[in-house]
Amino acid sequence: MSTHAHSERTYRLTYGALSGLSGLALGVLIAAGYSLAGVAGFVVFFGAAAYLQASYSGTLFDERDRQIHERASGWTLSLFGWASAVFFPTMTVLVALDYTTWPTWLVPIAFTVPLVYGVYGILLFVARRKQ
Amino acid sequence: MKTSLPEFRDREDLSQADLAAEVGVTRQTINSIERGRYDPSLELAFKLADRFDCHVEDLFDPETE
Repeated sequence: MSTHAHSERTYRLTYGALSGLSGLALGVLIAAGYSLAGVAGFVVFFGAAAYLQASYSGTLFDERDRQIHERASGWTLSLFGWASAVFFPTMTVLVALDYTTWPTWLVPIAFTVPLVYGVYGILLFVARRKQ
Repeated sequence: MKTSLPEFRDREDLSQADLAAEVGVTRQTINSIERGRYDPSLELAFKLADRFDCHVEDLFDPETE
């Protein structure tokens, strides 16, 4: 394997690690009560990842990466869709029959799911218009 | 999709990384194409054919694998 190939692999791995760390810093530090540190960590790690990508002389990500991301996004949307299609109607019935009550933490999620699909529907329309 | 890309590359003693740099993709993409795990876009297929001065169908055979 050539030096270029090693370099590409190292850059890609480092980019992935920095992106992951940015998300972790944001989520974990905010959850732990250090909101400003969380945002600062996110900015630093995400900025470093963006700088790494911009400073790489070759191609760091290409059409294959885009296809992988599109596939993973599709699977994620399907997973949420099917889980919601089973879970939320079931919960609604159970709440209506007084078997349980809506947990407080579930309410924002219940509102987020239709919001996500609403945005998806709009973007689907836009994407169809472009083709 | 079966590909003759490794043979074309070997003829010119070209590494996957060198070819990737020439056509503007990652080495992993060239590797995946050669292993039959990724079908390139039309744009990339034409770039590869152009690089080796051949037709797309000389590089790729959609009937097999």
